[in-house]
Amino acid sequence: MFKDTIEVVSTGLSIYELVNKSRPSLQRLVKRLRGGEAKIVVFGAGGTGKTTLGKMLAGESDPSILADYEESRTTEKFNFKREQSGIIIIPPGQGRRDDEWLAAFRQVSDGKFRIIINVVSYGYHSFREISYVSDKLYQQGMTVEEFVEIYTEKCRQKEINQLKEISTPIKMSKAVPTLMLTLVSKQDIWWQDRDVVTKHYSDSEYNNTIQEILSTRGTANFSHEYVSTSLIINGFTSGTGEPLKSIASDYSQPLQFANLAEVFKKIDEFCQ
Amino acid sequence: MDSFQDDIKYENRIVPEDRDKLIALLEEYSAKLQKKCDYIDRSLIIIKTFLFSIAIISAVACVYAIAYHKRMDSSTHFFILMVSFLALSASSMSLFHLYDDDNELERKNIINSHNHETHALAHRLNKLVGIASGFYEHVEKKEISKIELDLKISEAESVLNYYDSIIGKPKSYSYKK
Ligand SMILES: Nc1nc2c(ncn2[C@@H]2O[C@H](COP(=O)(O)OP(=O)(O)O)[C@@H](O)[C@H]2O)c(=O)[nH]1
Ligand SMILES: [Mg+2]
Repeated sequence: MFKDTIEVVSTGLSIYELVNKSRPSLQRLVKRLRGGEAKIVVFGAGGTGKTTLGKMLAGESDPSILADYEESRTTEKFNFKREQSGIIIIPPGQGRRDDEWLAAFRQVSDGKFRIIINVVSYGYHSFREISYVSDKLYQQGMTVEEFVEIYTEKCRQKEINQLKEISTPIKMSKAVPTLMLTLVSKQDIWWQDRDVVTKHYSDSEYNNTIQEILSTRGTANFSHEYVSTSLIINGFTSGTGEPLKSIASDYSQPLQFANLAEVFKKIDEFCQ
Repeated sequence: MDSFQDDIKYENRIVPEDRDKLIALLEEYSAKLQKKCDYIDRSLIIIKTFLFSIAIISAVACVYAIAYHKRMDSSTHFFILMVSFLALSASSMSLFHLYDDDNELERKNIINSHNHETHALAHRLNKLVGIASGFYEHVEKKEISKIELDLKISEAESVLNYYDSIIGKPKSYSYKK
């Protein structure tokens, strides 16, 4: 699912430079996706990193822009203007926005997307404006760790429920060649638990749903892969800025680079 | 660690009791922004109508000058032709800029000159929507209250979308080299 050894040590590079270095492969991607409407769709719960990913793929990689969590009001579209055709669409992940999901589902079952990315983050879903002590899961006297444990547990359940929702249109979709990626983001937060995280996605309810999709769609023109990276290294904070979980001490920028490059490579390979 | 936690428990946090206040604020600010946007929208229509009239009048003058040039002396003819031609190109170019979706600058200037408050208002409403949406997702437990909150947020969002459509906020992030 991820690289935990670093082959290329690329110290001194900012994420901005890394994304730009990876641009040639993405330009190839865009070229291969020529001749149609929306081509990549990014699903995932609110606060998992969909917008950040979209910005990176579209070439906007200024870290200061990436770090700000603005809740997405409507479906975002990232156009590759020069190429005219490559489009990434991202329906907002909040529970209230299910109507936008339905619109995207319709396009999924029409076979409009060549690449479907589902972003999950082992339950570390960022939220805005609200202190964790205001969260309905918080109970008097709880420690931060206890809160994070029950909060992420609930979010992980949400991730599985959402996968089940998107699995329906994927199963029903027209038989066009499709790559589905599960992107497990926010490595910097859960890196110390990476064995548990790997097991959670590849060997339990999440993967059962993936297997269901695979057996319905067949493997002739459909494939699914797990990829994982940190999009930014930021730790986990509440909506009012309280630190909830710090950056894993054994995580590092070279690891992020190696994994992010791997994600780009997977997308690129599909486009060959 | 404990005292740090106690501090933030009482500082700048939204509590379940804030619900009614939040809904009232959403209603108030949605209505305010709606009013401003309506005003700006009307101003834009008036400007567009004005520019259209100029374009049409100068086009007619142009045609007239060409069709009846034999009845005029050549300097009058030249003068009418030049003036109407200039007016026509100026007004149609401005119109083109106003209708061009990529060109938000022109519209923004008009809006700015009309009203500085509107931006601030939209900004605040956007923030309010963020708080309310966080409240909906994280704080509110009762289903019926969630439904009400959802409706109020949606109303505010449609006003914000209206605002975006008037100032021509880019609908997509373009990939620039
Ligand atoms: N620590 C950490 N934070 C991330 C990562 N990716 C995204 N974020 C943050 O998570 C928050 C939500 O990201 P966003 O892309 O807006 O999520 P969306 O709601 O799915 O569109 C933002 O504050 C991001 O900076 C990551 O890999 N690690
Ligand atoms: Mg988003």
